[in-house]
Amino acid sequence: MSVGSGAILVVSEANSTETAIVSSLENSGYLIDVVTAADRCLSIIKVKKPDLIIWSLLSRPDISVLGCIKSKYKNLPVILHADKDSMAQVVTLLNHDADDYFAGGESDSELLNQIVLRTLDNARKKEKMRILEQDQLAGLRVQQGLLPATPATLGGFEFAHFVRPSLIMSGDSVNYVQLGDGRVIFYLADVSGHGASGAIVSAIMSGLFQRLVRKFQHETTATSADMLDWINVELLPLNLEQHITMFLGILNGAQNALQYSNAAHFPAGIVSNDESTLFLELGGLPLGVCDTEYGYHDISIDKSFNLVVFSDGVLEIMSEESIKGKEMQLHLLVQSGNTDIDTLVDHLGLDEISEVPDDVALLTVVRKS
Amino acid sequence: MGKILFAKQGGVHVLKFVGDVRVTFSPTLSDFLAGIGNSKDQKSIVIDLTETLNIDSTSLGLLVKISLRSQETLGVKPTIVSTNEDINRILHSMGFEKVFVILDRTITKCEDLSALPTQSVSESALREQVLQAHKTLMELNEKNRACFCDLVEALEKEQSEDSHNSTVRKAG
Repeated sequence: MSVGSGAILVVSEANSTETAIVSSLENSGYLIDVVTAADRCLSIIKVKKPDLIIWSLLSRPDISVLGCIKSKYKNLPVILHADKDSMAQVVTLLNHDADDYFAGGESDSELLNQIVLRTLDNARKKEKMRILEQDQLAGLRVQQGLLPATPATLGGFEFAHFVRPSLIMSGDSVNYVQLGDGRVIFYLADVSGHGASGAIVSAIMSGLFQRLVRKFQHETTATSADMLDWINVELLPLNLEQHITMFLGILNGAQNALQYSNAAHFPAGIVSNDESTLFLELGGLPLGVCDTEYGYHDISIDKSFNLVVFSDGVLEIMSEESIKGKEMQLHLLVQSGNTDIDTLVDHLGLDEISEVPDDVALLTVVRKS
Repeated sequence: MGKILFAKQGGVHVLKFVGDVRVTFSPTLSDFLAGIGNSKDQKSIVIDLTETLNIDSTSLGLLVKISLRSQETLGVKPTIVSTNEDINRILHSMGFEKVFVILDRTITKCEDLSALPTQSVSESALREQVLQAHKTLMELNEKNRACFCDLVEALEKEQSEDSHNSTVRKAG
């Protein structure tokens, strides 16, 4: 005979079958309480806090009480005890208020035991899942707190971002900060893998970025490549399992200049003005893998300027067959004037799609002439 | 779902990525990485991506680490053979030309080797490496796919051989 633990409330007007069931469950190690009037159920549940309810349909009780119980104690599992005459009721109740049913008699105590064990086990797993989910959501709140305000106007540019995690937490992150001299440093980073492990590393990245800003606050000659070099040197001793790809840029509104460096970020950032739409350069090894030196690129920008950077998760939700085709589609989107975050999210269907295989992040920078 | 296959030929260890390879939750590639340089007959590594449809960022990161470990312990950069335009685009975006010898087409004649770009190693050494890689891949193709086994199997086999060897040593 199976050995169980937990408290069970049996709701039944006592009859011989029910008495046999109660004693067999007691023999299996459960603590049993019996309530003979359905309307007293709620007050007894409050006091006894059972782990499971066995609800007998044999004596035709008022089942509306069951609905009340379920709406108040969502996670309290209910097993119905039914006979041939109440099977139609079982089907309806299984849809909303009951978790399982038992249609046996006195001699089927082992079957009931199995059903009870399984139902309790499922309820415990659900509870564990709920706790884990709460934990992940707490992590998400921390992560969201590390992201900058969106939109935000810095140094004459409007920055905005959108991050859609594949699970609850995300390995994609974005940040932008204005320095004392008016320049704005910004990045979009993607930690390999996703979920909690990616989120931990992106939190490390966020801390590193704050230090980077302090370090380079007054070093006006430092390039975006110097900054990636510095981040890489800081990351290497951590011996992370993951690596980080990053697009890092420095915008200088007064000098109409953008300088950027790439650590294996893909797809390429896209810049546009009133006349043209261009991909920025690719290349560079990911951060946190090996000792390497990064390069940088300088471009001059017009009064009217748009920059859009996507993380590679976006490629996974696009329908074009080849990567080249997807890149061209992104280029076309930007070229057609879809340069603000809401329009892009809308066009890519990021708000509607129910599941994304990889984290997706978008960063937009706009300056209007 | 993709898979990673493994074969050995004349000291060249070949990893073949087939299909849509995602190893986010699998330790096999890191096990392979840890084993580089542990067997005496291992001379170089060839990564065959010609039948790869997609490769995730974790695999790519591990490939970079495989290259670093190969340079450290075997003294050579691994060779990547990749003919899929999409995959080549990703390799380029990850700066792989810095840490691999990348062949973006399969070469069937030795004369074609003169057209290869030069890397940091000497041209003759590079040519030798690429020739070796191709010889290996061609031989493996001729001998058919039976030469390749699942990477997990190969690692398990090596591990049991190792434990066997150490038992023998202890007994001796």
